[in-house]
Amino acid sequence: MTEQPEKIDQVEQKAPTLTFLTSDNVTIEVERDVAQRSLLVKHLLEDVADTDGSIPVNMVNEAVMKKVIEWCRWHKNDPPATGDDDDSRRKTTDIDEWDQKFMQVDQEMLFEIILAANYLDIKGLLDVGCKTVANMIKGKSPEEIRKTFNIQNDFTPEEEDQIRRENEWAEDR
Amino acid sequence: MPYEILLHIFKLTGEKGLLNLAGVCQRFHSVAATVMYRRISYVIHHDNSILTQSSLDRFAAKLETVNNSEWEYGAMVKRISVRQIPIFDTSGQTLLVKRPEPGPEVAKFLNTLLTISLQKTTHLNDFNWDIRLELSPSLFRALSELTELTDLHVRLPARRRAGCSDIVLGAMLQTPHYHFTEANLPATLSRNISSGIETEILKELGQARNTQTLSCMSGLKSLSVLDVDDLKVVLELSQCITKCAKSLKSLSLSFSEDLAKRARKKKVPNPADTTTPSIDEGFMVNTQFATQIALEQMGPDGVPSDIPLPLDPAIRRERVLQEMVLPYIFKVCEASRGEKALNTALEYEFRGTFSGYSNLSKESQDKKFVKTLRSLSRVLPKMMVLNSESPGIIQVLDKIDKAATLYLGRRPKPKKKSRSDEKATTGGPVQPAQPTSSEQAFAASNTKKQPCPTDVIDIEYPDESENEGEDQEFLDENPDNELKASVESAELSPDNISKDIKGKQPVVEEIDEEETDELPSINSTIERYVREKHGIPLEHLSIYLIPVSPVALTHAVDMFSLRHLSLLNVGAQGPLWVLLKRFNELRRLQLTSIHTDNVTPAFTSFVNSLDKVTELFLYERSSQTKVEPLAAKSTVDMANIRQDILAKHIRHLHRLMLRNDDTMNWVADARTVQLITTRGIRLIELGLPISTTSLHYMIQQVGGMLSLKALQLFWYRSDMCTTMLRELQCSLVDSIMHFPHLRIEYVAMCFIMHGPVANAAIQVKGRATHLASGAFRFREEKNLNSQEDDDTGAPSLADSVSSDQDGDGDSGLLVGIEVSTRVNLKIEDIRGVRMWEKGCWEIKL
Repeated sequence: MTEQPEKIDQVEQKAPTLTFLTSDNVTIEVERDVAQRSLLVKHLLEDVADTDGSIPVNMVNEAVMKKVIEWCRWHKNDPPATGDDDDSRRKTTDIDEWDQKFMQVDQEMLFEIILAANYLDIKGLLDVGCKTVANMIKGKSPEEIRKTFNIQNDFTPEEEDQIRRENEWAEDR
Repeated sequence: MPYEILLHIFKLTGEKGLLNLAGVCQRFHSVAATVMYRRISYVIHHDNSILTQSSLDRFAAKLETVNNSEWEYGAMVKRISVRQIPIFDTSGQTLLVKRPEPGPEVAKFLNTLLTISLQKTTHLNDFNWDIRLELSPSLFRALSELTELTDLHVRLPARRRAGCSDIVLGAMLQTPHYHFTEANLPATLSRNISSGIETEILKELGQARNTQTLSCMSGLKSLSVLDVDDLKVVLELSQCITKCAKSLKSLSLSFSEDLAKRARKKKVPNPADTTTPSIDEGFMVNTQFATQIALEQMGPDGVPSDIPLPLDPAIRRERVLQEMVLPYIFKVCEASRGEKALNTALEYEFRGTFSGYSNLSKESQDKKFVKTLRSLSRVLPKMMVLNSESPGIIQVLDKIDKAATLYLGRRPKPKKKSRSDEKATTGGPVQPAQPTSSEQAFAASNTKKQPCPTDVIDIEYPDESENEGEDQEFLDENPDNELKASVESAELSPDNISKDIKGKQPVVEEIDEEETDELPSINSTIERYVREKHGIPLEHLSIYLIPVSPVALTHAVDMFSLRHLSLLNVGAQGPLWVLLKRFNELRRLQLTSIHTDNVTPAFTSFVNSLDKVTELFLYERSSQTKVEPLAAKSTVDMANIRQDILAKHIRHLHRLMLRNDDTMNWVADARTVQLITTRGIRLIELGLPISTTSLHYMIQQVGGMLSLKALQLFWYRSDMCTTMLRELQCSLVDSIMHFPHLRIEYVAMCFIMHGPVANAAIQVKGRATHLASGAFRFREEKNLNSQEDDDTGAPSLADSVSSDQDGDGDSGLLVGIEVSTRVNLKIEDIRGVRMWEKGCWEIKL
C-alpha cells in the first residue's frame, strides 16, 4: 500500500493508453490493459474502434477514479474469472492482505469506490468493497449497525419484536 | 446504495447478520428477508442426525413464518428443496451402519405442509424433490398453479413390486408357521406385513381415481425426473414434456436401478457364496449359463455384441420394453422403415469404420464360430431331454440358423419361415408371456390400422413387411402394447388412451391442437417449424439407465442447440456418435460438455471433429458395478484419448475427468501428463488415472496448470498401501506450494479397485488470488515486452520459473509461502467442484 500510490501516475510511455474524463472534469491517463479490467471500458473498446478522445466517466470523481485505477493496476494480471469456479470463493468474506489495506478508507470513499466499481463493471473490486462492508456489519446488533451507517430506525418497537420473533431460527447461525 | 449492491453485501453477512440487518429499518428488512427466504430446504443427512434435526427445525420454522407472518415472506421464496444425502461412499470402504429410510408417513406430512405453503410462495422458481418419497397429486396441482415455476426436479419413489405383494399376501393366507429363535419375532413381523399390504392396497385404490401428477405441469425450463421405477409415470412424463416443449432447455431422465436391473441378465451367483443346489437345479443353472455365454460370444460379424439379448424371455421382454420408453416419452416415430434403415446403416458404419480396434481376423471368426457351434451342440440335447418346450431351445436353434447362414455368406432366411420350422421341430407351441386382456385389445385395434411406428420390427429385416400371420406369435411381445398396458393399468381416461395410441406422432402435433385458437405470429410459426423439424431445442440433456436409440434421440432433440450431453449406462452409444459426427459435418454442433461411460473409437473420433470442448467426463465402469452396462467394454486406450481428444481440446478444456474403474488402459503416460500440464492452462478441475511413473511427472510439472482449482488422481498400483498414498499426496502438495502462482485449492488421491478406494483430499488453504497476482505482477514488470504464448496469451511454465528465480527480495512473492493445509478431507464436504458432486462421482444422475 505504501509503495503503490507512487505507481499510479507512472504511466509507462510505451504502453498504449486511454484517457478518462472524470465528473469533476479532470483527465486521467491510464494504460489500456489496466483500464480493461473494467468490462464497461473493455466492451466500449471492442465496439468503438476510434478511442482517440477521452472517455467520460460521469459518475466518478478524480479521487475515486485514482483509487479504482490503483486497484486495477495491482490486479491487472489476475487470471480472468471463469464464472462458476469463483462462486464459492466469492461467498466467503476473506479479503487478501493488499486489498484489506487498500480498503482502509473513510466510509464515504468506500461507498464511492463500490458505486464506481458497479458503474465501471469491475467485479473483483465490487466484491472486495462489498466484503469490506459485510465485515463491518458482522457481529453488530441492529442498533450498532444504525449507528455505524447513520440510519434512522423506522420500526415501531412491536414490529422490531415481531421481526426478531419470526426470524428466530436464524439466531443459531 | 442501489438495491443490487445492498443485496450483494447482505448475502455476505451470514444468517445472524441478516437477522440483525432485518431489524435496522424497513428497507433493510425487505432486502434481508429476500436473502433469508430465497431458499427453503430440508436436507436429510443419513450419516448425521444432528445436521438432519437442525435442518428440519429451520425448515419447519421458515415454513411456519411464511404461512403465518404479516410480512409476506412467502413472496420472497424462490426455491424449495427437500433432499436426502445418503452415505457417500467415496472411500470404497464397507459401510457398517445403514439408517432407515424415511417412510410414507414422512412423505405424507411433507406433502401436506408443502401444499399449504405453496399457496403463499407465489414467486417460486425452483422446486427440488430429491428424495425417494411420493409426491401427492395435490402437491403437483399446487405447483402447476405457480406461474413463475421454471425448474422442477423430482426423484420418484421405489415401487412395491407386485410379485412381493403376492408372496406376502400368500403368506398371510397361510397358517403362520415359525421356528422360534432369538432373532425371529414372528408376531411382530406378520403384523407389520399385514399393515403394509393394507396401506398399499388403499394407496392403489386412491391412485385409481385418475389423478394427474407430472402431466399438469407446463412452461418449465428445466425438468428432471429421476429414478423412474414404475412405467405408469411414462405417460404423465410424455404429456409433461409435450406441454413444456416450448420452453424446455434442460432435461434429465433416469430409471431406478431396480427397474434397470430387470432388463439386465441376472448375475450368476458365485459358486463359493451359495449352497450346493440340487442336481436338477444345478444342471439347469449350468446349462443356461453355458448357453448364454456361447450365444453372447456370437455377435453379428464376429464382433462382440454391444447389447446381447439375454435368453430369459422376461428379461428380454423387459429390455425391449425399456428401449421403447424414450421414443414413447418424446412421441417419436422411430420404427418407420426409413429410420430403421438409418439405424441399421449407422450400426454398419459404426462397426465398419471402427473395426480396426476390435474386429477379429477371418480365421479367428471361423474358429470362434466353430467353437460356439460345438458348445451349442453339446448343450442342446440335454435341454431337449429335460424340457422340450423351453423357449430357450427355440432361441438356440434360431441362433444356430443365423450363425450358419452368416458363415455360409448368405443373407438369413426370413425369420418367420425358420421359426415355423422350429415350431414343427419342437412339436409344441412356444408360449411367450401371456398377454393381458388389455394387450390383446390393443393388438387387435392396431392390426387394422396403419402400422404403428413404435411397434417392434426386427431390425435385421427392415424391408420385410409385417403380416399378422400366426408366425407373429413367436415374437416375444409387442413392447408398445406392453408399454400401453403398463400405463393403462393406471386407469387412464379414454381420452388419454386415445392420445396414448396417437403417441407416435411428433410432439408438436399436440402443441398445434392446443394453439388452434390463437392467431399464429411469425415467431410462433417459426418456432413451431423449428421444433417440428429439429426437435426440442434442449441445451442440457442427461440420461441415465434408459436405453437410448440414436434416431429417436436425434428426432426428439435438436442436437444443434445442445451444449451439454450426459449419457450414462444407456447402452451402446457408438451409432449416436457416428450420427452426431455427420451432423457436425453438415453444421457445427454447439456441444461443449459431454459425460459418457461408453468411450469408443466412434466417440473419440466425434470429439475430435468438434471445434471446442470445455468439459469431458469419461468413465469406464467396473465389471462389478451395481447395474450391468448394456454396452461392450471400452477398447480405447490412453494413446487414443491423447491423440484424438486431448491433443486438440486440452487448451479449451475447463474440466477433464478420466476414470476407468475396470482396467489400467487409461493410465496417463509421460506424454499425456506433459501435454496436460503444459497445455491445460484453462483446466479448473482435473481427474486423471496415473501410474507411479506418471505421478512423478505430475509432481514435477504441476506448475503448468495455471487455472487448476481441484486435482483428483487415481493411482493404479498393485500394492495399495495407504501410508504410501498419503505420503505421495503430501509430496504433491509440497510441490504445489513451490509454485506461488498456482490456484490449486484441493488435491485428492485414491487407489482404484473396481472404483475409488481410500480417497481423501488435502486443502491448500489461503491460496487467494493475490498469490497469483503477486507472482504475475512481478513477472509482468520484468518481462513486459517478452513474447507470450501465441495461442492463449497466458504465461508458460518456463516464464513462471524464471520469474521465481529472479524474484529474490520482492515482498510480493514471499506472501505465497505462508500457506497451510487441511488434510484428510472428504470430497463430499467440498462444494463447488463438479467432478466431486455426488452424481458425477458415482457415475449416475
